[in-house]
Amino acid sequence: MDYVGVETSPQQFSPTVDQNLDENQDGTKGCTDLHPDKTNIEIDSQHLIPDELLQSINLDYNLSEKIVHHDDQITDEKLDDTNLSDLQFTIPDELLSSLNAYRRESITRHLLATCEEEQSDEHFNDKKSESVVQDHCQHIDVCFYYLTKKSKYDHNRSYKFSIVDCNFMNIIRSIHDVYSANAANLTVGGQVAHLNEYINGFCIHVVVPWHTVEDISIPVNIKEKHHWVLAILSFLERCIFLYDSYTSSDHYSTVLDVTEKLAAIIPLCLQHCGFYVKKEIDVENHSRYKDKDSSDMFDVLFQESLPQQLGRSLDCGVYMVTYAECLSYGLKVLANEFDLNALHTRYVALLWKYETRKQDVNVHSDVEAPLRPARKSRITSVTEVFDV
Amino acid sequence: MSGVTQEDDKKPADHINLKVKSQDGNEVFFRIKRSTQLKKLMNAYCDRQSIDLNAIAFLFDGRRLRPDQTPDELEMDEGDEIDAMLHQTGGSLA
Repeated sequence: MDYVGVETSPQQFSPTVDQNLDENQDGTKGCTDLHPDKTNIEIDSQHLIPDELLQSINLDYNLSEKIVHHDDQITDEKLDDTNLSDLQFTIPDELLSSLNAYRRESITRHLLATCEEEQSDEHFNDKKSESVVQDHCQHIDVCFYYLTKKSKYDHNRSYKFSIVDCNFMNIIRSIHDVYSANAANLTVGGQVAHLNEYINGFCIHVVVPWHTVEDISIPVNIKEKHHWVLAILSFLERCIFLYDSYTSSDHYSTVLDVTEKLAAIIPLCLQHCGFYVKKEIDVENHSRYKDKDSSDMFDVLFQESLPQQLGRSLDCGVYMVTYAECLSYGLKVLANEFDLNALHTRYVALLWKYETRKQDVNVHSDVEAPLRPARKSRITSVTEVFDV
Repeated sequence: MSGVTQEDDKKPADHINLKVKSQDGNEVFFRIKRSTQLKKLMNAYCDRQSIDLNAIAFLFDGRRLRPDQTPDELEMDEGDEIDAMLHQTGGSLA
């Protein structure tokens, strides 16, 4: 698959994805199918749309025909300039706002950025006063969800990975706070147990336990810098590869600081939950592990020569998702510049397409809920419980 | 709202206990009817914690909960955990 061309050209991007979707036709294995009598692509697409996105469509059902129409155009004729500008006005504000307040801001800003700058500024005066285009954690989660879903059901892909949601790093930070105060308290407070649910695949829809994959893609929010970076956790390398779309000296130390929390906590938790046994990594003899203890951090490696966001642009979220997508095909991220307009449009169009498809087959729910063991209710006679 | 003790005979089966966990690990327990919209729980949690409902997302198994969803609809079980997460954003201002 020629990803170099794909990066800068929406015309090639779209068919690539369609092909991937098609390849998923036989990929419904492993899920409980709501429509067992159908095996076409629409069935697969029912697994592609998270409920929270679907909801927005239901609210404005009567607008959907128009959108599906445009959606078809994109699929059949490929994205060309005419269709792009058409699309910009196809997704009504009402629909976007129904997703949530931030979504409206970011997506519409992205879409309109090229030709409707002023109008969109007007639109969003009531939002954040400065022109911060924010990539909200919900968008990130949705994009990562699709990436792992496509990987899971594409049997032609040899590279397997899993993802975590944006809350994962919150848990890491929290565990790290406890751990750095007193290492003996690592498992106090149940946060480590929560992390183990991630590791065992109990925490996220599209169940992919960590020991079945090579790497984990982790969206890392650098709160202090309002920034997103991508961390790739590699078990075989015992290493975290960092993909940062914005590099500068003061920035570097903050990103490293956050990443090192991850690098410190991960080996402890992997050890704690018996991950290495399941993954069949012999820590005594494995070349990357034999000289290390679980209290030794994973190495952190900043990836160099990546496409970088331009000085004043606010595109770190899209860069992060695009890095993750490149990597999800088992490819390297090349130094070529990304065409951000095309990427914004592509992601919006894809999410929209998934939504409408799910709507077409009238599917409301993803059936891939994690098969986690029943939780022990830790309510005791002294626990305060609030009736609502 | 009041503290209640758990007595199985007193607890009707159409209620479940849910735990809301903040990102710093604090836990608050709520008892809610399976058919009640989670809006009530979300509001109660935000009131108690003095936080703005719009500032946080409630996650269950990694997905956002909508206020109009019910425990029934989400097939929640006794003791299930909901994560309360502050929204994270990033655009990277230099």
